[in-house]
Amino acid sequence: MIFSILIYGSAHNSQSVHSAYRFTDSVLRSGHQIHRVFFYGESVHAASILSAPPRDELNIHQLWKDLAETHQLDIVVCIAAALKRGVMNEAEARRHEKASFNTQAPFELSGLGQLSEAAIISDRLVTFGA
Amino acid sequence: MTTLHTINKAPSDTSLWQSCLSAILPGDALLMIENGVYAASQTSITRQLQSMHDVSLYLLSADIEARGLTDQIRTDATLIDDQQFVELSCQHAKVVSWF
Repeated sequence: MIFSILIYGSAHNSQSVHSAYRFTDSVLRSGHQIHRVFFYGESVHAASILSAPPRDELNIHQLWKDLAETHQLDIVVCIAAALKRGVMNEAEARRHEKASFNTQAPFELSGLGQLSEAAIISDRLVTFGA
Repeated sequence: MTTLHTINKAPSDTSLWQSCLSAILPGDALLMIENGVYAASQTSITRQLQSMHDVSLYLLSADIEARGLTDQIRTDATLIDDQQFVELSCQHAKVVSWF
């Protein structure tokens, strides 16, 4: 079965990014397919390569990065939600004349069209709310 | 065509819980996750949950354990792990998340 995952909740102020991680990992372990993971709203902070949590806390960015790289996942961050929160890749930083960037592959910045396409292609779209 | 509903807020969010419960149809399932698992320990909400006709109740066990609620469950909901959450998503035609 083909799944897509939609995440709304804050990466550090809610459980939703971690709940979605656990679910996505279980989907893959069950032998199903993940078409796309879409980070929306506050969840875009999970894409920041600059987050440096204490060693005894979960590094949610690293968890997603490792899972995405292991399984070649398509993990898309809503570009509008990301840019207004100061989450941008090198190309966007250059375009907006910013001094630095803070996200990179496997996280990809793209638009809501990717969410619509995921909803159409997938058998199940599972949302993890704020 | 049945639906798996998930709810991630504690029952103190009364309007969310009432909207969720009124949307559940016979044959559907309700999975309480994150702070939603607090509902399992509160008799006012468990009484409402038990009175629903032909609705399966589930609790995500990792979230129950994380909150120390293992010995305080006041409902006959089934504890499930993440893998069983995936199975439930497959068994129902869609997954609706209440948050």
